[in-house]
Amino acid sequence: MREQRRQARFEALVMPHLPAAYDLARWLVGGSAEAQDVVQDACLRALRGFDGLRGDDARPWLLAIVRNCAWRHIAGRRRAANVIAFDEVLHGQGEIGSQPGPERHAEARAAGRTLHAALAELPAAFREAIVLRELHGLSYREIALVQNAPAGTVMSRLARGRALLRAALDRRHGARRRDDL
Amino acid sequence: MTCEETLELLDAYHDEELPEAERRLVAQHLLACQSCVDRLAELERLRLDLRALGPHPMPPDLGDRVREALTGVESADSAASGRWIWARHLAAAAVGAAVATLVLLGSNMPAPDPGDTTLLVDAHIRSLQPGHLVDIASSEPHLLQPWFAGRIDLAPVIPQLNAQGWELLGARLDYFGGAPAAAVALRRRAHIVNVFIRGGPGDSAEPAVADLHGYRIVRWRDGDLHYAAVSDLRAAELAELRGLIQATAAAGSRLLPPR
Repeated sequence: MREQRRQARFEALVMPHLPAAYDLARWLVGGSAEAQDVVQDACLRALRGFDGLRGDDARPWLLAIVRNCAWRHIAGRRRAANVIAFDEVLHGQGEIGSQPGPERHAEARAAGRTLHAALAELPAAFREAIVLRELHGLSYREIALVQNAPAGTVMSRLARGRALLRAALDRRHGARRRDDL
Repeated sequence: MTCEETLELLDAYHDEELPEAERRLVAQHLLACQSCVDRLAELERLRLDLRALGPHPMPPDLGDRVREALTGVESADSAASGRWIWARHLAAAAVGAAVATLVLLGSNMPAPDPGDTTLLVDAHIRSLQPGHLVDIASSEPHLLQPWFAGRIDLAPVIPQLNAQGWELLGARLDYFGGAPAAAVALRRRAHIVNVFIRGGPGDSAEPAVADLHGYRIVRWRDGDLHYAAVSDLRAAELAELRGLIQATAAAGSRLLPPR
C-alpha cells in the first residue's frame, strides 16, 4: 500500500512534467528516439531517488535528472564514435544539427527553421539556459538548480546565449549589427 | 545609471529577475534612453520568436511506455510494488481539491469514456505541429467571434484574459468525434492551451477533469455549449481558466438555430 501511495505521488508530481522533460532532452541530444531513451532513463532514476525530492515542485528536480542523463547519453555516443573534436569538448557543439532527421526538415516555417537551427548550434550550456528560460519559463533560481551552477552564471549564459542568437540571425539575414556602444 | 550599466542588467530586467532597487534604476534610465529601449525591444522580439518555436511535441505513447518501464521498480525499503495502472487513478486525488471528487475507487460517478478524452488530447497534440494551431491569428475577441459565424453553428463568447496571463493567440475550426468544434488557442507562460467548444445535448458523462499522456483536460458545460480546456498545465491552473471564462461569459454564448 505504501508503494501504491509512492507511485501515486510520483504520478501526480513528476509525470505532468514529461513533455518538458522530452523537449529538453530533444534540445540536448537531438533525435526523437534518443530523447525518449533519455526521458525513460531519467524517470527510472527519478523514481529510485524520489524520496530525495523536497517539496511539491518536481519540475526543476526532474529536469536536472534529464540533463544529467542527456550528458551521460552524449558521452556514451562519443565513446562509441571514438572521435572527440577539440571544439566539441569546449563548447559541446556538434551534438545537434549534425544529422538533421526527416522530422526536423518537416518542422517549422522558414523563419522558425532559421531560429531553430541557430538555437541548435549554440554552445550547450547557453542552449540549455535559453531553452529552460524561454521555452519552459524556469526562473534563474530553478535554472541554477538544473544546471548546478550559481545564479550569476545562469544570468551570464542567458545574456551571452541571446547575443549569440541575435548575431547568428543577423548573419543569416545578411544584416550588419549596429554597434550601439 | 549609464547605458553601459543598463545594458549589463537589461537581460535580467527583461526576465524580471532584478532586485527592486536596480529594477527601478533601469526603468528610470529607459524613460530617457531610446537606444536602450530599442535593445529591450530586441530582447522581447527574440523571446516571442523563441516561444513561437514551441516545444517538440511529445510522442503520445511515451507516458505509458515510461509507466510500463517503472512498474516493478522497487523503492529502497519496500519489497512489493503496486500495479502502476491503479496508481494513475489514485494520483487524481493527489493533484488537488478540484480533482478529489474524481477518485474512481468506490465512487458513484460513471466510468469516464476513454474515447472523448483521447480525441481531445490527439486534437490538442495535432494543433501543436507548426502551422496547425490557428486558422486566424489574433488577440482581439471582436475579430475572432465574427470569424466563427458562418463557419460553425456556435457563437462562443471569447474572453480577453491577457491581463490575467492567458495570452489569446487565435482560433481555428476542428472536427473530431463526429462533430465540428471551435478551438480557441491561448498561451500561459510557455504552455499552449486549447479551449474546445462543442454543441450537444444536455449533460455529458465525461469526467470534469482527466489526465492523459501528460496532458490535463478540464471540462464544463455552459448552457448548450460543452467546453474542454486541454494543456500540459496543472489541473488547478486549468480550473482557474475555467473560472475566468465562466465569469466573463455573462453576456452568454448562443447556440445558433440550425439553418
